[in-house]
Amino acid sequence: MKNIILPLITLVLILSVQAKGQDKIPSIQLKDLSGNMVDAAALENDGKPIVISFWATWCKPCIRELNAVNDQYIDWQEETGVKVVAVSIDDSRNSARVRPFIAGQGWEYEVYLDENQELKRALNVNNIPHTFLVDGNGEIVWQHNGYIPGDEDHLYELITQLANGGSID
Amino acid sequence: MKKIALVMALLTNTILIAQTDERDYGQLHGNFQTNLQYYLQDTIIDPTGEAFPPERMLAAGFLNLTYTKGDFMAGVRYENYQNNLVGLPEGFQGEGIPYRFIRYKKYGLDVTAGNFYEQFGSGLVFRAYEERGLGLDNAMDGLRLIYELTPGITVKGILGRQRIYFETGDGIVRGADFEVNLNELKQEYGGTNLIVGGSFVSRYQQAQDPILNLPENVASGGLRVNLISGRFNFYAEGAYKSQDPNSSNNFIYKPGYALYTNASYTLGNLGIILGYKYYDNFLFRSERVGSLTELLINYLPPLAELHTYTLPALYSYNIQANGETGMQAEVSYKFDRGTLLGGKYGTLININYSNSYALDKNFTYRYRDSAQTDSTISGTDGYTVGGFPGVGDIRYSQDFNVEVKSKLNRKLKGTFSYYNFIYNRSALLDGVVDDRIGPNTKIEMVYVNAFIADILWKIKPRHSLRFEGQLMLTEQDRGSWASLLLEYSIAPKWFFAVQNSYNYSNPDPDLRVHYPLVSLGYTRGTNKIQLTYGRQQEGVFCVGGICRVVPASNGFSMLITSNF
Repeated sequence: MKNIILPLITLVLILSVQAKGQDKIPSIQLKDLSGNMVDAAALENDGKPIVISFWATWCKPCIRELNAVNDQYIDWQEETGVKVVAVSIDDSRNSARVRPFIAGQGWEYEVYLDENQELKRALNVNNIPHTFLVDGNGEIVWQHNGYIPGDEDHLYELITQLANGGSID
Repeated sequence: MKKIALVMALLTNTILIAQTDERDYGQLHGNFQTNLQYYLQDTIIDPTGEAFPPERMLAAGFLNLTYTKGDFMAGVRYENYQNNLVGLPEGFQGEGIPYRFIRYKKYGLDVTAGNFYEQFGSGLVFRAYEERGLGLDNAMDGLRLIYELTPGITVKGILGRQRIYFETGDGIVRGADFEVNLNELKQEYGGTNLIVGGSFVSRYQQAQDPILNLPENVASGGLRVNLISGRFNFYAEGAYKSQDPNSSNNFIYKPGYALYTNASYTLGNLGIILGYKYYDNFLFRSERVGSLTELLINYLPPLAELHTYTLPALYSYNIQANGETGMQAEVSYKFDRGTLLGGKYGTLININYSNSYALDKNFTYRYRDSAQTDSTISGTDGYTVGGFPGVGDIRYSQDFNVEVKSKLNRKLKGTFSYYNFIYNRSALLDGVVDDRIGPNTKIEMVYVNAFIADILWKIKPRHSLRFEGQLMLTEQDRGSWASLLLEYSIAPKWFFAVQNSYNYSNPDPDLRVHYPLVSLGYTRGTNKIQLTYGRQQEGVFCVGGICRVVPASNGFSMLITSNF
């Protein structure tokens, strides 16, 4: 077993210095709220940025984050054309609650279900909330774990940079 | 092992080359988590020292590595437990690579070899999944095929054995699922959609019991239907399981039945959900003998809200393996801004009710008291259930809660909630099974009222203070609790929190103690480190934007998570 650890560590070290870029959303099937399959890799927004946010109906900080973004979402859309995609990882204990929950919250997001956490795993998300920013070419340019009030302002700065043709380091 | 090392080394070289080459060599990503906990002996909350580990310091962690290139994907997970944290399954010991897989898609065929997670329908028949915070991981090790015959018709097949700690279980699990989606079939989206599906799973485990004639093959199958129109959503799934004498049902031969259904309706600001569950002897493992979350083949949705505030989470509902029935109803409404109740920014109200009862069982013999042995029940059908709806006399739980969310002004947001629980402590915490409950058995019911105020104050850009006040009143069990939390955060990097829970009316005066807790978190990019010091009671624990399940303890802990 020890033999495997060294190369693994080497691999990780190399990865950590590896050049970025070409990070796409993997091809994993999500369900939309009408029960249709949607390929996560096919999510697009006419060359404008997309925010992908992992959440669940039981996750208070997730709801805090999505509500904070929702308060400003109309302005964000007008100014940058950004689209927010909210991916719920609620399992069948709570997935039936997602539709009415969104109606109650008044969220204008595109919402998908990742019931058995396939996309969450494929994107190596540890805990939720976890937010990805995808640029107009479909590349993941930034990600963030957790939510602290005010994080949405930082996210918006990054979206604006992208929308103005800038890049994110 | 050396072969694996060689493969890894080769893979490493490939990546090295990838760096110097413009061609697409795919992407390699992963995540990492480690949790160290140093325990202090606490003679007040743990007078016998039972929960104080001899190691003093325990550590658990993992590293995931996923490689993707187009429709090709491969991954490994290294896990280490030196040893597993207190309160999590002790079976996780040592280190290794219990998870590795290769997956590719070609012409509509999706192939996975190695470990995988999968779910059929709502999980009644089959669900392989992981819940790290709970130490649950019943990943399959084998093969999975998913094939889209034509858009709208999908067939899945699975074959393999399930993970149990660092090994795989004895039982062979094989299954198939089909689903037909009318919208996708007709390529007409919008309007009403009908999705129907069916699933089948069978387990083989050799039997060598000297007394009982145990079935080696046990099968379970289900049918489901989902009707969705603009405002209305109806889902129903029914399932049947053949004779499955096992350690959880005391080796009875009664077949299992399950029905899970829910309907929801949304109209403008109004959302309504109704749900119903009926699970009779439906726990399914890939070995006959297993405990807790080991080797579960299926998943029974509890149909009860999952509470995450510290105090209500102390009375979380757990599914009762040998049978239960219940319902859930929820109404949510948003009062528009500018109305009397909506105020300036609008107000959201959510009312949830759920209950769970034991089934109305007529045991084939007298109820067992502690003097009788288990063998009196084994080998028979065990019981019959009275006619529909089959609700028994034993109440497991009732949960009524109301949540009101409101923005008071530009800087203040509040969530106020009320909870009323009736909680069968004997069944849900002490594990007293319904066939042990007779007319003279004392059942300990806990009646709880709880109030929570959660207020967020945005002091200035990036600086915020969150206050959480909780009061939970009960005359039973451990008595009443009060809890206060203050969380100061500076986006996007820092948070600092102090919390104190006080079990002020514990029937044992020595246990009327405080549970103070201090935590500090720092985030930089996708790296996050969190330090916590103090006493923690058991429950789902949310702080600094992350929720996880933690056991009771006293000491110092460090959690590091990272993505790359």
